Amino acid sequence: MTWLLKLYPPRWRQRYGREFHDLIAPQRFSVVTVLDIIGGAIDAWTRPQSHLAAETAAHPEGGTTMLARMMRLRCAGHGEKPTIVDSVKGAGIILGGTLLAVLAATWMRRRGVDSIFSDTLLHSGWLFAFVLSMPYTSLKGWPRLTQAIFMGILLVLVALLTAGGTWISR
Amino acid sequence: MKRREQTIDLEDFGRFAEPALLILISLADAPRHGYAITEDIASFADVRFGPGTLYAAIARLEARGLVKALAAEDRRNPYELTALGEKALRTRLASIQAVARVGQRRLADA
Repeated sequence: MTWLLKLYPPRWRQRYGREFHDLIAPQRFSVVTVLDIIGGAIDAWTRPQSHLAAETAAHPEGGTTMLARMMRLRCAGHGEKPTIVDSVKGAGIILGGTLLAVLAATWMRRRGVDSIFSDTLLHSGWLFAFVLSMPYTSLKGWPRLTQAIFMGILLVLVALLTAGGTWISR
Repeated sequence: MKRREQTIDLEDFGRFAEPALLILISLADAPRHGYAITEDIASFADVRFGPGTLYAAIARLEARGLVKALAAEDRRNPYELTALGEKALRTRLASIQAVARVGQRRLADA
């Protein structure tokens, strides 16, 4: 079961990995233990403890992952604070994006495109626009690649959930 | 000006409050490493925490300064109770005792 240790954040593994490995290595495989370790890994990613974040700040070259960085940035109150100009840009993207989505959905309906696409765009256009505004707000200061991956995942999730909801309600 | 004393309520640990309390009890008489803590808790509380739960609680306790890691022995880090940890443990045990007394008195009166 020691391979499950890879589920934990790098900084956590660096601090507790060795003793954790020694604790689970002699244990026999058990579904309950596997679920417990997975639960612990989710907790370590989503609620990184302050002493581990402090170690990360002292060693910025460490291999941090996107989610771990995000959680630490949010919890520790670091990261680049959006300026008023950023907020205006973000709001502009949300308003403009929503308007564009509504126009595109209307055009699609007139062209006779399957309603699952036009309805998805109509219902979640503001959410797409909100995600696209994140580089100016909550994702400000992140590397462009990280921003792109994070927003890509969110956009796909929003599209799938909304399309699924539209399809079910038909 | 009187300085406010620092206290930490284990209830803030959410679902890790019980594991954290038992870990503090385990460390009350001597420093122990992860495996020894698990075995000790199993012996006095008849509860065996999984490794994920155990280390999630240890990380919280360490982050709040209630326990601290000592120098590694054979790859394993023993943990010991800090003064703050001892205080938090005493407070929590006193609270549990008070509740238990009320419960027992009510049962006796029933």
